[in-house]
Amino acid sequence: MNGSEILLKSLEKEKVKYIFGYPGAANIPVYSALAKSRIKHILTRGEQAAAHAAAAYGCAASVPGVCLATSGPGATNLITGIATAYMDSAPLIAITGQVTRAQIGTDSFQEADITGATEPFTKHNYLVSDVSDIPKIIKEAFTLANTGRKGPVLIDIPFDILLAESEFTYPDKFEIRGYKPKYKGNQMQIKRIVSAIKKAKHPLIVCGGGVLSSKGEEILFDFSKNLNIPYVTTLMAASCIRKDSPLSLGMIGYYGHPSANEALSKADFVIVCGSRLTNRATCKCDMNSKTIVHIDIDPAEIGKNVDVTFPVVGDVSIVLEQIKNLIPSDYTMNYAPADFSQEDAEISGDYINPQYVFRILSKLSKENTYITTDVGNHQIWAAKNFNFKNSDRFFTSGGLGTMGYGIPAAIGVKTANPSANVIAICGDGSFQMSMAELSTIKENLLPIKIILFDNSALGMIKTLNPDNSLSFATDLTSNPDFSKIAKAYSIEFNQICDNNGLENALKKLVESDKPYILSLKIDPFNKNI
Amino acid sequence: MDNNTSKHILSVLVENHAGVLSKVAGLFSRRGFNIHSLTVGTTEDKNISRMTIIVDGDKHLIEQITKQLNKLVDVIKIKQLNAEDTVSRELILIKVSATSETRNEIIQIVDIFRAKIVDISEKTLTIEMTGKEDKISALTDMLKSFGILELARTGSVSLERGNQMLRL
Repeated sequence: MNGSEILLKSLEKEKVKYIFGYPGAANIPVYSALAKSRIKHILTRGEQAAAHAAAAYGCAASVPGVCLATSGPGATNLITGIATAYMDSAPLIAITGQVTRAQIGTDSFQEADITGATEPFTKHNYLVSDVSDIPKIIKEAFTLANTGRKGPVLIDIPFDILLAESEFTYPDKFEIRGYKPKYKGNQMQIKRIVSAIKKAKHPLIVCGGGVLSSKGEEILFDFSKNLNIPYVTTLMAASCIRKDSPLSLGMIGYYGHPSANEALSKADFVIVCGSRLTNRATCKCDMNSKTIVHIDIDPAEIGKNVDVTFPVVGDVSIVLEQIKNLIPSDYTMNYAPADFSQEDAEISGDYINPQYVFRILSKLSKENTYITTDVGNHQIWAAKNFNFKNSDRFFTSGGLGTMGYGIPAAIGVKTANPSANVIAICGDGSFQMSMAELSTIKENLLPIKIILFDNSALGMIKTLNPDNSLSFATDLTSNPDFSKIAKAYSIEFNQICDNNGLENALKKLVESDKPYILSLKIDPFNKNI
Repeated sequence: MDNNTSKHILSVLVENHAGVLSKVAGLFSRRGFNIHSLTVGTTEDKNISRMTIIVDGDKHLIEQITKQLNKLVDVIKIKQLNAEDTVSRELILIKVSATSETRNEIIQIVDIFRAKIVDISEKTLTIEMTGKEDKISALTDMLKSFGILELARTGSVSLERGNQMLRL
């Protein structure tokens, strides 16, 4: 069989069910093989969307998502999506066509050094040099993408290799001597941590995206409850906020809940679980004079931004259990619960209150609600105000903050979990970055709901420009009539301009079994995040 | 973070794959790590290359560099070498301006340093020397006054003394 067929057979060996892709001259042979494969292709309307969809699919399904693009501009269009996945540790495989081996380096038509270009954004990447290497590369790529700290792996395949003939044998074992992720924490260190916990006066847990990656939400909730240690979350772990639990103190960060930022400032003993503790997360807190336990699967993140007292390299779920096992079962601590009441914004004014939107939506939403967001004020409103239940999930571009993520991510997670109730949250700016993907939604009959916060502006940037001197760039003065856009894609549309019709409108959105767009007109000068 | 920056020697075993050097250089450049020198060559195992990287930095930086390097899939093992317990050598080729008047003096300096003359012409002398970094710098300083026309240094290679080693 030829290289393309070997590629598809290898992907089938990895139990791939979907490929999000876009064809071009250099990857046509892959499509020929794909046509005969049981793997289903989802055509997006741009490669960035394919990468976002595949990455979100990977996070939802806990297996690597696969995207496919052609050489040159197809490959370079993937870069934003790959970088987004890299920053948020999403398991992603990106396969790109490439010019023939003889043409590489000659500035050939649609040639781009994609392996060079994605080096900063991939966990590892490959330029296939021989057709017989394909199975081993696929096996390595899938293992690298989905183990340790998960991340994107790119495989660039020259055109002549896609057509070259070879035998198909799939390797049983994965062997890369330079790759040995550590999952279990050092037991001596765990003992030291347990001794130190007992001396803590204001302990606090920071719950980051790594907890979700490790599927450790329940373990973290139990740990927090058993020891009576409250927790705060980062943006990536916003779905772990539980407003009805006194242990949940909210979200930290630049746009975090004041209660959470205050709790982190006051804490003298912090157990950081799967968070990189970037400046974005800690900038509103005083991180000095604290005993910090940092549990992360990536040793390079420990001690990078914040000095750490007790570094522990390992999988968060496993390490938390190790710590719990050494603590006496009757051990508890005292702390002051958070007061969220002052953060419940007042419902006032002529415009729709965005925070209120999410509180109503929380009441009306069904089990297994998957919220994806784009980037901007709406993202923060969603994270801080939607009341996530145990079956709900939150998908957002936290690390890179990529506009255009929301709709393709919704496509990806819906494909991964067809029974999930998927709601994409967008602003009018970010909506327009991925508007073309409404076609993908239509084509694949995906009953995805989109809530569009329309203030005819790039709201978050506008808020950063208090004298409004940059309105030439932050005001979106020539937005299309979104109802006509929806109609053009045969998607149901509704628009609400004040709080009165809100509950009914959201009810209709939640109950629809078809794709649905609800546009909410909000105050262009809304500064309340 | 302490501000005691100094030079640190990292010995790194990497897979002998195309592009590994570029990956390491890219990593350093992207994260703002300053490379003082970098050499790479195959080892006793032709599938493995050894890189000797000399970096400027404080303890915190060296720790980050080591951890980020370890994340590269092609990096197999890293060891930070202690300068006192390490043999380090660098090779230099220097072409100096040399006339019949100055030639003898230059040759005297070359002899004192136990360096070698590898090329001679009417107006030039090319000198080769192997030694520790500070000895190389000393030779270069001594020859400056004659006029250095061209200079090529390799950067240090290092191995630990005695039974300490970095191998698979």
